[in-house]
Amino acid sequence: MKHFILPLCLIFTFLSFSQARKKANKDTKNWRYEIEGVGQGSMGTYLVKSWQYSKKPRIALEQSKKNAVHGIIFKGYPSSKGVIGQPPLARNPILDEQQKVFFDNFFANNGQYMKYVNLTADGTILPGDRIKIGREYKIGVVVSVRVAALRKDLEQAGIIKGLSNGF
Amino acid sequence: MKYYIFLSFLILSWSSKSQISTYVRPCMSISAIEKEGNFFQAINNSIATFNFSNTLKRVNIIPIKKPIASDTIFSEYGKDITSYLFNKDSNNLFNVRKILEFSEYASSDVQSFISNNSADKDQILTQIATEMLGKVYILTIDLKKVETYKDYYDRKEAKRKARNERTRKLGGEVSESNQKPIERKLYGYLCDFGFKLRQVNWTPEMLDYFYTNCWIDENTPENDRAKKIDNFSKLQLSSKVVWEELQLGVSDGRSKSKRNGRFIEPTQEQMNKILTSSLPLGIINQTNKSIVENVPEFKIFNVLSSTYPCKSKIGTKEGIRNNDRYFAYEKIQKRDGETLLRRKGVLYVNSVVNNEKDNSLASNFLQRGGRSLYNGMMIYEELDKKINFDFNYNYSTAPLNLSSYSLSLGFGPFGKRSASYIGLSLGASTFQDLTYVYDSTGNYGGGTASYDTITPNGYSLSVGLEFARAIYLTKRGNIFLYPNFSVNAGFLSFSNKDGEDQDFEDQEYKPSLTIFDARFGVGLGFHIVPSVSIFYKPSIGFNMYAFESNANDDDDDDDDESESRNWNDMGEDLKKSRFNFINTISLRIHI
Repeated sequence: MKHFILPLCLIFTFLSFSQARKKANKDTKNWRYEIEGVGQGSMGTYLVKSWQYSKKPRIALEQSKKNAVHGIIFKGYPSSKGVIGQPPLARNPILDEQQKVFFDNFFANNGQYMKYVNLTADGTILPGDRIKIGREYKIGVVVSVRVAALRKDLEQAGIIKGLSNGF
Repeated sequence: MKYYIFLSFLILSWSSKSQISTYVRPCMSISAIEKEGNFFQAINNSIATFNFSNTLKRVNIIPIKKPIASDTIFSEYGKDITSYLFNKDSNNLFNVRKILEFSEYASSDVQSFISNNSADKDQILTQIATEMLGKVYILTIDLKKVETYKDYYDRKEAKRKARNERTRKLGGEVSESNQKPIERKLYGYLCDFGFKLRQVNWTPEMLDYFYTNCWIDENTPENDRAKKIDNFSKLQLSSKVVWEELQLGVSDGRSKSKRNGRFIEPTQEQMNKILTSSLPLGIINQTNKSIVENVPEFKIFNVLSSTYPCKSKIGTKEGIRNNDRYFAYEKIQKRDGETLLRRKGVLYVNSVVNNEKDNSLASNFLQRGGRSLYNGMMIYEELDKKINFDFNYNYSTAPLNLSSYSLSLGFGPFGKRSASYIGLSLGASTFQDLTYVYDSTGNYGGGTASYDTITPNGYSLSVGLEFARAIYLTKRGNIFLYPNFSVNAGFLSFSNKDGEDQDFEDQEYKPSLTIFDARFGVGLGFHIVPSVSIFYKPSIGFNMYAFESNANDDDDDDDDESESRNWNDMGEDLKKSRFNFINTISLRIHI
């Protein structure tokens, strides 16, 4: 019997970890995150703070990159504290449903979205940016997103239209 | 134009300041109230000229070297500070280079990240500068009294003589110790001083007035400049006292060397060195300690950048030291939207990193109690007085237990990973029907011993000295091993027993026993809450040495009439108690 205990524990740990990750991914797809601008990014980048909700704080850190890119494509962010807001890259509100296969792959774990995002040194959180609300944690992480490259690649893939297409 | 944007941003961001930033270094100038007298002037000059940056690591020092004539005139001083912070040059032009330099030095790595990735790199530094302007302080040292050790000894000597004279006049006899002159072993100085810490009131209105009516840079039209210079000269900067100590003392007394049995007087150079170097440093050290303990803005706070090992990106730049204590807090938002901080654990600095040039480096912390910590939790510096009160219950099956109940006053933790402790204990215990064999004449060495066996009741009082280490077993530091060693002296007092033969009060000789024991054990401790822990300390006790004296001997002479006793001759109970197993339950309160 004792030979089974360790493998069972490992399997249980793996399953619970996977469940947490799935839950975090589901939250992203359900737009359950917030992003806000923290500064005018240097050429071709946005500096945003992405807030995510999670029962597991470590999962939330990983999710922050995904949420930041997701937010820039689908949500944009409003102006605040001297930072000019930005509209979403996708002007079509149902783009994620129309391009479901593309975005499922794009936002898969370690997917293509990773190319465009740069987390603060090692995911350090600013004081006050980790808040426990009920049983969940709301965690804000500052992320730099290479928007110019992201826009270009999405345009080349035919997912969004180029800026010139509107004229 | 850039400066106008900067200043406009300062004003705007002041009113919208809500985000808690990382620890922002206060800016502080140090001055001394002018006083007549050579000693005062020498110390004041040193305070004005010394660079205290190594002592006052956690502040940006504003080097304004101007002793102030009065305790009340501060607007001039406030203007000097403004000139320094806004880098006023000889042409009366201001710029923000200095305050941005301070901000850059104070910025955390997240702030550096934002700054480096921003189109406007100064934006984040401006936010830090905004917070910094709210933390501008003026420290004024007020020397009250400076005297040499020679003067101090003279004063004590005069007091001694006067006291002896008074005793003689009243017909009394001066004791031998009071007849000896005061020994003048030390040289150096003693100093009484006080200080006030004022915070400059940089309100948004004041900043607006300064920007609109006093600020001059290369873009300011020539015809406006004279008026603005005049406005600045009339600028009234108010300040409020945030902390003061009226009476502190510092001394530096060094041992005089001896030649042919006589103390050698110090050279003038040695005396000057103390007066102008170590005494001012001592004053600033004491002042800094008091400020850090009592002014919240001077306490360091940051976030945990990683956990287990716990790390935070603070270090030598913030002046943290090994074994400094920090409390970790979790920010909680309640249903009604109100946020509060809840304490989750206690951390001690384990190794300090040099982050003067690289703010991404993190110092190591060890958790010693509390719940699981996560990165992003806030940590606040909390002064650890390193004092422990232990309430102990010692249980032993041996017939004699020197201290069933004891109270210990301990100090610690000291050292690094394993925390060391030292403690002094006072204990008490009672015993009943203790079989004790003694010579009723107390003449053990005389060869005419006549041993009596008694079974008295009594009590013992004990004093002990304990050395211990806490070795933390779990990552949260809630459970720890506690190897300990102690030496104790127990003083046994036998009382009369009704219905028994012995009645000590009627006899010339009443035995009083003193026992020295040593105990060694390995305890197991558990933090109930971080500042309260409970221990189980099994230990082996060994009674090493015993001597007996006569409790009815009320002679005042110093003759030592105690006798060393052999354990085999003191009866079965004491023989059995020589090696004993002691179970101790302790409750520790740490402050």
